[in-house]
Amino acid sequence: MSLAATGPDREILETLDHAPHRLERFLAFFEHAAVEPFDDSRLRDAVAARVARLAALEHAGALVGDDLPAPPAGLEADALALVRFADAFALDYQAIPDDVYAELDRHFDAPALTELLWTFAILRGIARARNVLS
Amino acid sequence: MSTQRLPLVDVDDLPADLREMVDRWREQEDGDPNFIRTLANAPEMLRRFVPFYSPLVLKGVVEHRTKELVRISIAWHNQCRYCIATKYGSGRRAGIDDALVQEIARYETGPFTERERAALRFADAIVVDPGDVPADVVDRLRRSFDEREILELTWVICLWIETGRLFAALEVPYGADAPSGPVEVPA
Repeated sequence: MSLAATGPDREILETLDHAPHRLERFLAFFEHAAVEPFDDSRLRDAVAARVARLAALEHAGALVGDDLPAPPAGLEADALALVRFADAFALDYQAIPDDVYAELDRHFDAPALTELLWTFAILRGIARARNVLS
Repeated sequence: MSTQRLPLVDVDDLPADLREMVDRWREQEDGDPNFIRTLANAPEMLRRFVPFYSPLVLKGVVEHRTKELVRISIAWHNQCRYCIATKYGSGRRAGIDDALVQEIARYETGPFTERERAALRFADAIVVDPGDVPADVVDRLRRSFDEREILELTWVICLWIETGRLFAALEVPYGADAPSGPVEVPA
C-alpha cells in the first residue's frame, strides 16, 4: 500500500530515522495497522482525511467551539461513525458522548475498534509532529 | 459502574507470546498489564507496535529519565488516570520517586537539570499549540539537545499526547485486578 493513501507524508515519517531501525519498525507496525482494520480504502481515507483536516484547523487556530466543518457528503454509516468520533475527540476527548461510542459499537467489534482507535491516535500523533516540525 | 470503552483481555486468555510480554513488562518495569490487555484485542497490531515503542521509550538517543519526566508531565496535562498511575521501574531506578514526581509541575524551580527543564518546557509548548512552539523554547532546547535528540523528543511527546488522550477517553483502568470481558456502558 502507499503511505500517501493513509495521510502521513514520507517526509515527516523519515524524521523517525534518527535512530537505528526506528523508521522500519514504525512502518512494520503502521503499514499493518493502517491496512488491516480498514478493509477498504474508503474507511482509511475517511479517517485520515478527517484527522488531517482537524489538524490543519488546529494549526490555524480555527478549531474552536462546536464549529466544525460538516462531514463529507456521501459517507456510509460506518465511516460517518468514525468521523464523528474524530470530531468529538478533537473537541473534547474527555467528554465524548455515549451515542458516539454506541454508533462505533454498532459497526465494529472489539478487535476492529481497537485497531481503528489506536491507529487514529497514531495518525493524530503524526499530525501533531508535522505541526511541530514544519 | 465502569465506563471503560474497550474490553480487557484476560491475561490467561492471551496467546503465549503476549503472556510473556506481560510477564516481562511486570518483571522489568513493574508495569500494569492493562495497556497490553487493551491493545491485545488486536494481537497482531500489538506484536508490531511494541518493537517500535519499547526501544523508543526505554532506550533511544535521549536518556530514559528525561523522557519519563516528560511522559509523566504529559499524563497530568492529559488527565489520563492510567498514564498518571503508571510508573516505569526504569524511571524509579533513575531516581524518579514519588517526591520528585510531585515537583514536575514546578520544574523550573524544582530539583531538575537544565536539560530536563528544557525538555519539559518543550513538551508544555507542544501540548498547548504544536504549530506555534515559541522560538525561545526551541533555542533553549537546542542548547541542551542535538538534532537527533530533538527529533526523538518531538515524536515521543506527540505520540504520548495523543495515545494518552485516547486512553483517557477510553477510561482504561489501572490495576491488574480490573475485570475482563464485556464492558458496561452507562445508558
